[in-house]
Amino acid sequence: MSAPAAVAAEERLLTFEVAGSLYALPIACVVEVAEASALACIPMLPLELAGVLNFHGDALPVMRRETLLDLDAQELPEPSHVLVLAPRPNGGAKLGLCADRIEGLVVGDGARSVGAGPVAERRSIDGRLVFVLDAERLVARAAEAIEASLEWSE
Amino acid sequence: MRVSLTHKFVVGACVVGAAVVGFPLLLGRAGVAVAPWATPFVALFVGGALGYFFSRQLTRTFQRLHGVTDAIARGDLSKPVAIERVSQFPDEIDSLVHSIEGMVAGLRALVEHVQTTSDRVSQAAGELMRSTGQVSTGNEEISATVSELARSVIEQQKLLHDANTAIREIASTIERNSDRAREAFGFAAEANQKANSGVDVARLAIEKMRMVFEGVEQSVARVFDLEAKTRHVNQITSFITSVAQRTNLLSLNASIEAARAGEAGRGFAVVAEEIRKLAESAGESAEEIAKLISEIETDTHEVADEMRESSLGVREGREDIDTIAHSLEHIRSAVGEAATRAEEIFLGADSQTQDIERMVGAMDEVSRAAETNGVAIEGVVNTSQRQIVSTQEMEGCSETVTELAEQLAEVLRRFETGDVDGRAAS
Repeated sequence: MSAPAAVAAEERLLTFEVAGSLYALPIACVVEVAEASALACIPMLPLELAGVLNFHGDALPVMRRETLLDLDAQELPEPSHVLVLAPRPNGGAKLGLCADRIEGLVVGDGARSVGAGPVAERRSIDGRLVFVLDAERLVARAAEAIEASLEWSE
Repeated sequence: MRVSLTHKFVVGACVVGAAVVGFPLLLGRAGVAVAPWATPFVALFVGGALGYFFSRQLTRTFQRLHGVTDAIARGDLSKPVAIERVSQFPDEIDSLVHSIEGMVAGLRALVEHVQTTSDRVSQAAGELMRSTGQVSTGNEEISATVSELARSVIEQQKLLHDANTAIREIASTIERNSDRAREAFGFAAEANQKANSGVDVARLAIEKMRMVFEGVEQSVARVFDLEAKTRHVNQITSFITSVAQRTNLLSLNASIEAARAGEAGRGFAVVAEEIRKLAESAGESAEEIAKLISEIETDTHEVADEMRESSLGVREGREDIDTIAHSLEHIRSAVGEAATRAEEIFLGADSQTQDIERMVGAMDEVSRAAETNGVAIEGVVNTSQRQIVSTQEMEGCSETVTELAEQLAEVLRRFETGDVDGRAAS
């Protein structure tokens, strides 16, 4: 699971575990890994959908894992970490994604999703099945869910 | 002057002789011649005159004496003799008259005395017969009572025999009880000695147990202290684990930052990677330590739980030992009290044995006395029977005496005593 020191940043993936499954995101899309804490409620949005987290003085929106990854909410444990995602290196929206456990860095390229789902590719790393996620797709899906929720509430 | 009849006849003969001699002389002096044949006649005349004079006096006296003796023969003693003889020369006739007067007086007094005595004898015989009847009745009652007493004595002898047997059985029982009391006293004394020894041994054992308990309690305290220290080590290990995780997270973020920095962050990425490895290694070690500490903590916790239970058991054991100690003291006190009571019972039983032996001896004496009483009562019964017969004989004698007294009184009724003054007396 360790990566050689000389491997380029864009060639590495951050692996984490959610609901017993192993997921991976390109390290270039991850700003930071923070410890999970209690989420604050976002006006007009239910807390079961999303909340905000104090991230170095800024409000970081955090989407629920089940919303982004199509999981059953009743089976999920409390998250231990929050991955701060920034799909676009030159600014843009940041999104927090809750993870049950941070696995580490592995060598590998990212992938872009061609479908509606956030999973871009299923890959076997060190004999384990890893779902490689598309960060932009995750942000877009979060935006869609928020808009849908706002529309539904209106 | 007393002159006997013989002398008087001699004096008469002398007078006759003097007359025979003197008459012719006197006539001769007077001048009258007296024929010689006249002298016997003179003697006869003088002798006859003197004889007539004296015989007449004697006849009257004897007639009166005859009257007196006839009255006496008829039983009339009331009349006095009343023979007056005035004589200058009393003789045997006067003595006879005085004797008859004395005899009559004596007979009168005798008859009066006999009559009085006869009356008294008759009265006494009547009294005696009545008394004899009462005595006979009393004797019969006494005989019945004595017979009843004899039966009671026989029954008493039987009861005494039964009581004697019962008392001997009681004496035997008391003697056995005394032996058992002696044995019980011996056992109690031995038990008291053993109880004292047992209490001393138990006291030593209790002291040792207390020392063991104190050691166990010290071990429990040390285990609790070890548990607290283990918990503290666990907290430290948790802190190290947390630090390792944070370090790992920081190294991860540093790796991410270095990757985002591109070529400029390549060296930093190497350092971050090394830090991440160290953090992972430290985390793994901390996890192993935490695992070990967890196992130690689990074991310590189990040991502590067991020690807590043991401590409770030890506390209860100490309380039980204290209770046992108090119980042993009570037992020793109770056994000592029991030994004292057993000694008192033994002494009391011994005293009872002596008392019952004396009681057995007394019962033997009472039995012998009862047998003697039985024999005596039997003799009394026989005596009473004989006394009844004697009383009946006395009754017969009393009746005879009464009849004799009546016959005597009947005989004496023929005598009339009167008194000297002529009063009639029956």
